[in-house]
Amino acid sequence: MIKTLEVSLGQVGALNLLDPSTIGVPVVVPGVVLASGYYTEQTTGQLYYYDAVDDQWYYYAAGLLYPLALSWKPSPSPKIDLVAGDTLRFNLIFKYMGPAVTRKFYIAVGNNKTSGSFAEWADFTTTKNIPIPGYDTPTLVTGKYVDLIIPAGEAIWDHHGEDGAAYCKILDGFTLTEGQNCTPQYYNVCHIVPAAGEFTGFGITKFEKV
Amino acid sequence: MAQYADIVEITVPAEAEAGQTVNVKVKIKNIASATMGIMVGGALDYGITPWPGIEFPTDWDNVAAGATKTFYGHFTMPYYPPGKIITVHAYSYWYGVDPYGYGAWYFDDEATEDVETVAPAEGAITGKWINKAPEGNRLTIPASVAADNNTFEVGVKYKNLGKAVTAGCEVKVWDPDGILRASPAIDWTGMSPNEELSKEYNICKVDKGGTWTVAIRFLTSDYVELDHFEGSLLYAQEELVPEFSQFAVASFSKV
Repeated sequence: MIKTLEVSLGQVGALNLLDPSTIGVPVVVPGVVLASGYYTEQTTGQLYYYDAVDDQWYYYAAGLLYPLALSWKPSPSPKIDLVAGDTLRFNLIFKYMGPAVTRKFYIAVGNNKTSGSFAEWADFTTTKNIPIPGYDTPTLVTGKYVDLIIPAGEAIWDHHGEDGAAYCKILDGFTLTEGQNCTPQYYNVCHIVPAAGEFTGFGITKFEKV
Repeated sequence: MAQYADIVEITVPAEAEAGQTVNVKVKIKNIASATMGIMVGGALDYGITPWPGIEFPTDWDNVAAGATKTFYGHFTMPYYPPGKIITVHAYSYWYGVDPYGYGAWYFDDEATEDVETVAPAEGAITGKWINKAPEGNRLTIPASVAADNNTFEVGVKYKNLGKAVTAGCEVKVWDPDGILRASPAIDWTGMSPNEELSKEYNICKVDKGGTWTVAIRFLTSDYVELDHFEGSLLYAQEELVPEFSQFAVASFSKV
């Protein structure tokens, strides 16, 4: 006689430990290529693993690896059409507590997607030093912004007709922690308007029999 | 010359301040051939009558032949102008039987020593401050500083307002939790009348926020307190660590 034991395992799916609020995503300097392997953050001693094939960071805890990524969110504004020479303004908002400081803010526009890592477009990045007054309690800071001048030439030709995503971060550490030194990654932020074909000096130089 | 109770030594300090307790030591030797009852007494001669007495808590004893007994007494130095001499008289007595068969004490010997009245030691703490980077030097106490782990110093200026003394300042510092954080050695120094000295003491790091306290005592080398100060030393403010939260792009716009 066969007895059957039925056990419900519930729903088995992907780990829902993505983006723990206290674990930042390591920052890789643009242009630097990392090999797969373990990396240790010097300040906290936190151990990370980087999978170069999938461009995926993991953090290591209790013998397990947990995937890390910044979240993707829709743009807080309607999609903006851009052409070379336009200025795209990132209007920032954050809470701050501490002494008066000046921090370097970095903004970037990149491939439009809703998951995965952020692929920045060449020359679609810039930085700005922003002074922040001191506050004894967490205080909402508004009115700070960073402007990106849309490049001309080859930089924009590569993206004519494409939608762009964007994000902003504060350059102050080895890791990015969403909400603290990095914004979410926003999709559908902008659209690069294809340059319309334009003819000038149009004429017939000669007629001949062929 | 004593008959039986010979005062062989009287010891008093050469000088004393008004109001100070002065110790007197009197050694009396039994020069008789048998054990004798021997008593001590004393009085002060400085121009008033009757002469004030000297207190000897134990003023008699049976002393073996040839032995010496030391008696200890004391008196309070009278309020008398500095530079005046007070003569200390010590007396010895032996116990015998009078012609009627009754026991009695018989005066035997006398010795004297002089004690000069001196002005009491006086002094005052005339300045106190702290030094700490980055706030600065000679900051008035209590000072508001950052609890930034920087080391600070306590400075004290003190003046001798009386006779020449050997003196120094005792400095003790407590952190906001009441833990004694520093008690540097006292730098005993000979000080002339009206001499003023200043010292700076390395204390510790300001590693806690809150109120730090200090006790300063200006002392003579025999620990007579000339002046003191107790109170708040530092109001240390914890340094804020930059902290961002809810960082986001509120909107994108084309300008």
